[in-house]
Amino acid sequence: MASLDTLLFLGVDGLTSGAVYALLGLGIVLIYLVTRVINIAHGDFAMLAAMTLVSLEHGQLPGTSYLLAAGALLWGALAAWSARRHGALAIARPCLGALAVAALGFALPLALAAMQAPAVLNAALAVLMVAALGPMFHRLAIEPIPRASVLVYIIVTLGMHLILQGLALQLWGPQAHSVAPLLSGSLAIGVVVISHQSLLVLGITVLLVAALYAGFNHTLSGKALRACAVNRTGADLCGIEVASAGRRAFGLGAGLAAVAGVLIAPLVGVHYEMGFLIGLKGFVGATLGGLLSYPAAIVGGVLIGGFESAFSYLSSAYRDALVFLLIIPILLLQTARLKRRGVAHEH
Amino acid sequence: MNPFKRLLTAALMCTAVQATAWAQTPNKPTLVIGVVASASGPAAALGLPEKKAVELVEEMARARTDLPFTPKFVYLDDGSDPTRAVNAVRKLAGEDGAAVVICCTTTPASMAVLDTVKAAGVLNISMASAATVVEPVAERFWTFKTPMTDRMQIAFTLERLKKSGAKRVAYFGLEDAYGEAGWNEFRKLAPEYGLQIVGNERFSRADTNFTPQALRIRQAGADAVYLHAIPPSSVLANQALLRVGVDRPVFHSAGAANAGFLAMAKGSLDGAYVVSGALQVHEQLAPTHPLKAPLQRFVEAYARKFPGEAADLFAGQGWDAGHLALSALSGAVKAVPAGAPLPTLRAAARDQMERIRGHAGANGIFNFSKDDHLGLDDVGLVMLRVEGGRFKLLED
Amino acid sequence: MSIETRGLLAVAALVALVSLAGAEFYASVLATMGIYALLGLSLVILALSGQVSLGHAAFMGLGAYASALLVARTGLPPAVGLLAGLGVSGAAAWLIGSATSSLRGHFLALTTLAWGIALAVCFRAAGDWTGGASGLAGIAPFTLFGVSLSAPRPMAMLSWGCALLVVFAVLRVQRSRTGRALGAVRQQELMAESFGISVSRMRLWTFVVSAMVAGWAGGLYAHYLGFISPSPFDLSGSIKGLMIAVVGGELSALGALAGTGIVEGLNWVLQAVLPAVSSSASSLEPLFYGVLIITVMLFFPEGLWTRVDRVLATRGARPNGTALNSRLNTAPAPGGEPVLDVDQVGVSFGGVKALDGVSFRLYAGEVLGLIGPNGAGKSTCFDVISGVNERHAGQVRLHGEPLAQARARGRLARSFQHTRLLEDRTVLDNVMLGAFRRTRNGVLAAVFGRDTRDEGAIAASARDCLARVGLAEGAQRLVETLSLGERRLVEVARALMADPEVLLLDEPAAGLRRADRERLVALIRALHAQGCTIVLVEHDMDIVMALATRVVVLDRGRLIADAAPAAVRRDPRVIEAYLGTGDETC
Repeated sequence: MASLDTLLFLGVDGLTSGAVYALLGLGIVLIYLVTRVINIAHGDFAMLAAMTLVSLEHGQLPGTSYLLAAGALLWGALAAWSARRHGALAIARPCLGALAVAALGFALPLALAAMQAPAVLNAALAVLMVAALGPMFHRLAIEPIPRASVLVYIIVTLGMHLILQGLALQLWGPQAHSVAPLLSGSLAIGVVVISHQSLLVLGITVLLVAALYAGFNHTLSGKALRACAVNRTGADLCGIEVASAGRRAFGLGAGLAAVAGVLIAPLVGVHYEMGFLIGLKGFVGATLGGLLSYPAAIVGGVLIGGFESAFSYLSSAYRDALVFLLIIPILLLQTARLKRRGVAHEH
Repeated sequence: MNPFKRLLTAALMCTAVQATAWAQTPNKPTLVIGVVASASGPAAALGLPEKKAVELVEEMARARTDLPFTPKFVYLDDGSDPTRAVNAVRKLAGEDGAAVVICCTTTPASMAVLDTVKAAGVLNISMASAATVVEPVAERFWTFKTPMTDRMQIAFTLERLKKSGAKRVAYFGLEDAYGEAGWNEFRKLAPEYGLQIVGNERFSRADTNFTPQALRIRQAGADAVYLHAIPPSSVLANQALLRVGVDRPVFHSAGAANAGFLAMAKGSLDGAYVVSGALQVHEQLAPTHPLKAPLQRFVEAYARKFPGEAADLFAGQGWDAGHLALSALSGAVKAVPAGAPLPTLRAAARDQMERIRGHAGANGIFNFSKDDHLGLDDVGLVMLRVEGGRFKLLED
Repeated sequence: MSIETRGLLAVAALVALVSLAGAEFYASVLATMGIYALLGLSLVILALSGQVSLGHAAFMGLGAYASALLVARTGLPPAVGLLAGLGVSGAAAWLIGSATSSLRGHFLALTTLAWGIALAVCFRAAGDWTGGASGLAGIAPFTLFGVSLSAPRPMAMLSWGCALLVVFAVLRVQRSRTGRALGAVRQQELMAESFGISVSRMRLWTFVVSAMVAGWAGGLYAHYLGFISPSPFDLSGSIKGLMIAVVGGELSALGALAGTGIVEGLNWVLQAVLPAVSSSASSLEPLFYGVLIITVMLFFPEGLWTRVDRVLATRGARPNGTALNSRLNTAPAPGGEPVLDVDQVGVSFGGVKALDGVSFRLYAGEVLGLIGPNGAGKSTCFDVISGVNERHAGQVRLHGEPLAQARARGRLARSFQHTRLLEDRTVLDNVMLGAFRRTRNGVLAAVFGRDTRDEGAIAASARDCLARVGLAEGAQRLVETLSLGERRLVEVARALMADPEVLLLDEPAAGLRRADRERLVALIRALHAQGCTIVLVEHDMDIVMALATRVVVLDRGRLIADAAPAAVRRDPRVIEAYLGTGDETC
């Protein structure tokens, strides 16, 4: 029989895992709501941020800088090409912008390394660099095919996943790395010990949810993003720049994933495959909430973490099967609930 | 784009290069050694060091003058997928005309190619850990392997576990082929050492939460825990055990015997035992140890070619496989008349492989025979203990 | 059709040539490609019914393990094992599909992900049965008269033979009654139901068939390699199948073949080409692979083969024959028994009464206009009569028969105001869909060509209907090229194809230009003259007054007038309802 200690341990650790899945789910929902893209590579953004942090901690130039530079230059080239008839200035501007971004991508890490920056700054830079990759990806891989089906976008993000994983394997090798926690030490609740880093994860998740909620419901740009999700053409006609909304969504989403990555890196170690499975579970948690809203994504993520904890305890060999099978009745219940609410009407 | 045309062109190019090589050195034939390693996918942590070590062997071979042939290494990646491994071996044996094949990193892939190497009649040196790759020997005529089997490592470990006075042991391992092979051996051997198995908990390589399983082990009241995994999971699992209050000795498999384990543990796992190949602590070996000198040479050569990286047990597999392939082929070239067709050469290489005795490699001293395609005893095995964040060799 | 058959034969010849004459390595790559083509095809088949699966490799695994274990335990020949594998995957699909039939969209995708992962975990965890993560070795190969077929060369031909057979069957089905129905299930569920297509049944059966094709691939895989492990049957395998289907064109059977070529072939091309560049380039293979896949999708977002399919859809000879017998040919007796009897119908949504005690009758040969100001309940009433809304008080009877039964027998047919046509099919195909209830040919009839006569009859009838609505020359055009007016005409033609006793027209003139409106009015007049019984919901007063023989007026859910057009126009209650006493209407 499970004692109170056991339940407490399972609960606390399930909650911490759940918070990670929820953080990732937030980003996935955000990107999906605005662009209708289900981002398979979402977990890899988290991994990339964690890897960048590893390099920064060792005072080395992260491979992410090269990726940023490549993305920036490609974008600049495309923008310059499309502006080719508008005069030298119009061509020069995107080129210079691209070069500036690429240069920053190299200069900032080196600067931080030189001044032996504290962990918080390293983490912030890692998040910033990976967040900047988001809009690049949108510009280069999503914008050229604005009316493709959801499945096509899935395959495109799958390609991105292969690229990011392959790059990570090449740049940081197949072994696991470790990073120092942002907050060391731990807190004891009875027999259960919970590290301060885990508490940080929980706290930041709650903060981010609140911030997203406020941002999307109470600011104009947030509402504009929501409008794009509800009706692209309508939003376009209202003067909302749909393409730039997509870039912002990807930037924000990638940033959220990056935050998740740098937060959990000290807890679970960093290796090139860490992103996919947590991204998948984040996606599952987000979809349980119907891919509709942020609070639902949080609940979904925490539920998955909880199920995982419980089933790992009951049968560790079959735990994944049980967790995933349990989702099916939940989805059926959700569908029935939504159906009772409304009847599909022609007019 | 027509993929077949590209493939055809590439294949023609390869054949052309080979033909010119033949033409240029009629006395010294160029022989192809095909290498299939998992350079990507879940087994990349094992496959990449293996591939690098073979590249090191290739570089050293080119500098040698005593080889009766010019070796040409061809590398393919199976992406940790047994299907790709089969096609890769087919390509090496068919298209590339390999005289010897080194495949593969994982047990499933090595098992998948058994029929292919048999049909092609080519010697295969596997780098996979399970004993079933070379047993039963009668059905594994063409396959040999370099790594110590799980069985030997686990027997070695259980011996010491028993000596420490433990009666009840829990198994805590990966759920993939590596972990499963470990469990199968553990399950069979534990009773032989008078140990009772009180738990069998599993996790996957990408898991982040090990607490539930650790709680179960605590509940089961084990005297000792055997952890069969590789970093990062082996580190995190061990930390989870400590966190829930399991203060019993923890014995790791050889998968944890590398610098990555120590780097991740950062001093939190002092007191853990790790079974290892002697390679890991070669500088702590007594000067009279038969493996000390060969291991030192390997480690130094590896460090020279790959600065900043330390040779680990996985690299050792590649090193041994490469050198054994060269030895087998050397013997074969000398044994068959010049200009003999490839099948004859392949068969001769296989026979020569079986005759290799006293080959000091990174895994130990190989003595192959008709009945033993592994050829190792446990002279290459050591028990380590983590102390002060480093591995310390235990004498016994 | 014959273009495609010729194409298939060409591919078969090419495969045979490479398998027999090329190096064994090519044959071995081809063999693997053929097996994965089947997996991609299974997803294409599923996509035809509008469903997606992220877990189909699990069915492949079921087929593989079932076949391998059966053969190992009982010594039966692998061919029997293959059939058993088909059975197991089909049965599993039937169970899963029945349980999850109400799910759509993302929930459906997630469910497929869920059971896909769950099954893959079971393959691994049930180690005592399945050999676990280390796999099952020593699986017996296919043999024919003692010769092993599991060598690369015969296997390449076998697996491609199976794939081409499936492609052939799919192409046949797509041109048949079932194909049209599948298109409707995929694109227009509501319209499909209204023409007698059981959406849930079609989805379930398509799911089962697609799972069986995946299981077939699994069986071939197991007996070819002689070794199986759980790793090819997990999420990565399902994603690979999905990639193949999407790259080739999600709805295109031939596209799946192209997709396999790209997805599998790229691997080998990269491995052949990259080492020539440099040794470090070869370890970047996954990276180049990802870049190339993205590039393919950027250049072909609809899939490689979709454009070709679209062109082929407009070509292709249509079968011909004598038209089907039609009810409409027999002149109905005017007057007498009412055709449609609406009796005290009431509908409430929550607390709102959309319809309250509405009763009226429709007699043979009439054109009944159903009008009323906005919010009067016209659409609700129409939904009740057409059978869309089945939860209502009161009764609707057709010739004394309850409406549900009459609907099932196809005695009513409707058009839709927001036209519900199959965009990627020709006008003729869309109209032929209307006759779904009038013939019975299923998948097997389509595959074996037993439906030629019926298809010919339907095509002839469809041409007649198109001629009646004045669209005869547009039969081979794709629907997406039509104007709104033409689309409305197609809707009417399709409804006529159902050979109904009562024709229900839902605001057919809404949004039309004057020329199209006049065309429509002329058509309805002609239909009335031919003896059709029509219920017409309309906003346009001129049209209603011009065409209707009788008008029923609703206001706020109640019937306020039921008389000839002239009388209704003068009725003070109707005037008050429309012009109101201070409220803005219309």
